[in-house]
Amino acid sequence: MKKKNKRLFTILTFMALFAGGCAILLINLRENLIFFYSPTEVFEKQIDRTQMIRVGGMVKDESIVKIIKTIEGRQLEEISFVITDFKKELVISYIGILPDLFKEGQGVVVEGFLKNVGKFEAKTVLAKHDENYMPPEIKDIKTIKDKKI
Amino acid sequence: MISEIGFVFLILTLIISSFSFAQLIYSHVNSRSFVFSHLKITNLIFFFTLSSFICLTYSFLISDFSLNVVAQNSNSQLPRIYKFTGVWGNHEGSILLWLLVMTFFGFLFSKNSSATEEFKNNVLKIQNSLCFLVVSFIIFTSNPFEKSFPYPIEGGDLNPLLQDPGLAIHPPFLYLGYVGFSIIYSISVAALSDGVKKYFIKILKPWVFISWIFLTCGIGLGSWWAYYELGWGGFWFWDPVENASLLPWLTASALLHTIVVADKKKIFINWTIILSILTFILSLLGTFLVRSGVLVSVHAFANDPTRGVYILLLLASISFFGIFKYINKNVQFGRTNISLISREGMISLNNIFMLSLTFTILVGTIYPLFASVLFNSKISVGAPFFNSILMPVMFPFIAGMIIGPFTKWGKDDLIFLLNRIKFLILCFFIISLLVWYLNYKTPILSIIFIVLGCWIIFSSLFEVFQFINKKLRVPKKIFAQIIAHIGIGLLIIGATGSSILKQEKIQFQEVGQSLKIKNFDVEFLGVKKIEGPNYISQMGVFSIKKQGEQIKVLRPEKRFYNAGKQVTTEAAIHSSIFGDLYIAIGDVHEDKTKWTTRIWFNPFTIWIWIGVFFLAAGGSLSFLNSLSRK
Repeated sequence: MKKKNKRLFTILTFMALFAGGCAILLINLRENLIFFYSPTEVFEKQIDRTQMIRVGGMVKDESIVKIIKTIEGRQLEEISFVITDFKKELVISYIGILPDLFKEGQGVVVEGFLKNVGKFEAKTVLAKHDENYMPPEIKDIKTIKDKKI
Repeated sequence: MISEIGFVFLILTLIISSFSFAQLIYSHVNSRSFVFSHLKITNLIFFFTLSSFICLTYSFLISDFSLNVVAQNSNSQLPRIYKFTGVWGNHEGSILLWLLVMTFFGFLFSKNSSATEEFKNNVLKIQNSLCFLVVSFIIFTSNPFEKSFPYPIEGGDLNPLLQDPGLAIHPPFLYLGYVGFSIIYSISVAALSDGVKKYFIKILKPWVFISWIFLTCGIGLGSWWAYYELGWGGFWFWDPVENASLLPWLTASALLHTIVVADKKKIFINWTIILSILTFILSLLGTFLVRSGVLVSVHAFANDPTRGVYILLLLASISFFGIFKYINKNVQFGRTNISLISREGMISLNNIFMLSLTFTILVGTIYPLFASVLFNSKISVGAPFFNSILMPVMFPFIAGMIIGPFTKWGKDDLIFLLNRIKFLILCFFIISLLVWYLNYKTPILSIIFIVLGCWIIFSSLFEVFQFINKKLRVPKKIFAQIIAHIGIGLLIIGATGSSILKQEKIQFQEVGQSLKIKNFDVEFLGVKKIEGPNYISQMGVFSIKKQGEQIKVLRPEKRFYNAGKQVTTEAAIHSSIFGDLYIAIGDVHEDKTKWTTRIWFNPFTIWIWIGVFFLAAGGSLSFLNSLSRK
């Protein structure tokens, strides 16, 4: 092969590899995205129940209920609470230790799967991490709330 | 009073560094430019910034609540050590620390570099200009000396999560790494206008190592802190901020490998410059992502959009300047052909993988940002994406890492190569079978990664063996590489153990109740109320037994901080070389006899920290080596 052709060949190979890599990357990205919804969107949109999603809203006052369940011989506390965007409400159930800053009347993002209509099983509960900081999603909801008041 | 002096020092820094900046701009317009001694400017701005930093520290120590940052992030009851570390526990103070480190690197360079006076002057011109950009950012958007009137009698609180020794030293280390890349950028860009004399590699080398070591330690300390402080049982969460620190680390690691070749063979000089510039740009990008609050992250401080815009401008201008200089460089290098099966070839391969990883993580990190701007959809990219991409890339990467050190410089032959390491390949079979035999019940993926980790460690030891066999001493350079590679091997084993193999039990545990996890019996003895200096703590007491014998008492806590009315979880950990027993305590049940407890067994986690230590040790050896060979 001539020198020039050889270089062209190398460049083409690299470009092909790069394009292939990007394609794999994008496909992977598409499969592993976690979408964020508000409680209203959860009711309105068709949501795949095998897909992990995030839902954010305010924890409704006096909605936290703790019940004891026995799973595999161990006693577990199942916590359920209602999150709202002041239009629709969604019941969340969660087994685990709630984040330190979880409170009623405060913003929260839950990650997990939608079960039945209006029921959500959370795998993770993300509350804010520090007093002054709030995830943008929660901030948006809070502004809506402030407007209403 | 002291705070006013601090602000005056900042203004002085701005004015003096502006001379360097003015000349940098002017020299492009008019080649017959005036000449300052940028060395003197460097010394001055270092002194002024240090003074300013001391003033801020003093304000924190005496709890001067007339300063906004002090009032918001400190209070009079805070233990003294956290008053001190509170200086960088907030946005303004941490950016001042950033500036201090930046001027400090300039100062060190002016004192301890083997470069000619002229080259030093050129490098410091750029470094001082970078300082100018940062100091103007501080003064115009995040002034730590901003006052409020009337000021509060008592301050708020330092975020309790930050009241911890691990966090206290984590940001300075991280910054020494991040900002260390600024001097690498300055040296590389200066070398471009200098006509790229090949000796510049020698000047650059120690700075690459030292920054890399600090960044490695900074990331390691950060994840160690996250591990024991957050009480989530993990050490890496693929949080955007963690990713942001990983990006420059990856390109710096690529640079680390390339610069060795560049120094030895005088090839890849261009590539070294590109990597240097890229690494600093990625450091800045990380800062932008953290400070602007554009990404959802647990690390973000309360944010202000103007800061984001300013950092973005900074990022754009610094990148543009680097690229502009690169395009306009007045030298061309001859092309060299390298064959794949050679040391140079393997190092290029390493670079390709490192950069692919960087690109992937970058896409995963900023994609949510694009999606929210372009499609107005809120999404996040989580751990599954990164894991699914990382795992397949790891195989060829590790293979290259194992074969690489055994290849010869110049040109090598695959058959001869395999012949040289045939004994090693035999060992690999034995190790694989052994690991598989010992862990055949565990998931196949974990076995594969642990085997790969063992391979890396074993092949590194084999290198040592080869030298001993030939009755040679292991050269320092190679010894450093061996130590660092063993570190990576340990890291892979540790990460696999604590992610794939971790066991978690969460339940209500009654006082006196015993639970079994792995081969430990965890007995819950009760909860004590403890008063700390500025918090009240509910301390669970757990007796850890192994075959009926008590080996340790663990005391996880739930702390309530009075000042900020915040709660934090303090996990308790029993570490051993086989794994960590990790306990976090939650809330009490209404009947007051049961508590939610969360118990993990995280196999091999300790090897992550040991691995990071090995990496840093290897880096340090290379650093010392690069200094002594001047």
